[in-house]
Amino acid sequence: MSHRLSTLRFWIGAALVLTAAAPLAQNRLVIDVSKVQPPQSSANVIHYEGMGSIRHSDQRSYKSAQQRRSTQAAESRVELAPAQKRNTISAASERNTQQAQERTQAKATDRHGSVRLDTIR
Amino acid sequence: MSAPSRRLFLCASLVCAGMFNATVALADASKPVIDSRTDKLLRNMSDYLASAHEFSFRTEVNYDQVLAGGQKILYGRQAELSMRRPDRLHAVVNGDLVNERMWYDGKTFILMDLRDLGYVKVDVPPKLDEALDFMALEYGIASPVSDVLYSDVYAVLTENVVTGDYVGQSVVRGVPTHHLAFTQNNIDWQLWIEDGANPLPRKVVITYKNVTGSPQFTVWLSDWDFNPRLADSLFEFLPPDGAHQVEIRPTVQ
Repeated sequence: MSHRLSTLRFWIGAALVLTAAAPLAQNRLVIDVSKVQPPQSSANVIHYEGMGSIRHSDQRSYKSAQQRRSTQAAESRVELAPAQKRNTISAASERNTQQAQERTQAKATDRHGSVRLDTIR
Repeated sequence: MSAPSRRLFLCASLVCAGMFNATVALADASKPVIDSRTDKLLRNMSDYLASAHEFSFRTEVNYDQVLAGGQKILYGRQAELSMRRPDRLHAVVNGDLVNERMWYDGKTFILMDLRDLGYVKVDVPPKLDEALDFMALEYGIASPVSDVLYSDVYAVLTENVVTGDYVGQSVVRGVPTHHLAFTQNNIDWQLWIEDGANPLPRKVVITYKNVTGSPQFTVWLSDWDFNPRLADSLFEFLPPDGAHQVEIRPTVQ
């Protein structure tokens, strides 16, 4: 009888510990999610001027939106313009970035004649 | 029930209870932890914006560009935005690196570079929310300012939030505001909402903490007008002389 009571006490104690630990585990997990998860690269996404919106800066948004998108992809997919068009926005974007870097170098050199190019590159 | 059976039943019950608690804890871990005052302020702002059929506002933006050597260069731009729910948007953007105009009329999205009059024209979904998502997903065009253009700004802003906190009161360019701070996996962002009867977004700062150099984007929002009497023609694209269409390629296949 005594043995049965102590076993019962042990299991009740275990239950109390589990219940008490749940909120702690909950807080701990919230913290861990932000710090432990590896950086979610958005290398495959070219942000407008390198800066994404709050909505689209996290992988989860992209995934959920892509899932929604997949249901309407057939009707909404954009037809590419004819290939003979000489310019593309992608190319223009690359050109802009390059021009920006060149402008930066030029500006920095103009403003501060002593700025060395190798520190800017 | 015999004693061993009772013991077995008790053990099974406790194990199940433990598993349930652990499952609940795991499920809750993906929910944003937003301070109640912060949550209320965010909802008020969202409701206030959603109640407007059409409005216009101006933005002033500063943003970092991180060069290959790690040096940060701060660029700027200004914009005038006008929108009419659910399917009209017009923007004029001028800045250090851009000089553009944008039209959305519920059918097409047009972005014109005013320097050389090259423009892209894309067929997009008929609602602004979907059109904004479409341009972001297909072409990587997702300016942070677009976050306040959605019909449910609260849902958009909290979709990926991990934590949200109230920082305190602050004055943004003469306007008393509430300063809020949020974390997400890839970015941290701060929002200043006007105090009082017009809970408008007055300033947003986004830190791209997983991008090399942790560049920041800062936007001040001003000149909010909820009775702008926008002309229909504002949203209609009429190519000027010398305009030429260029190709736009999707960034995500």
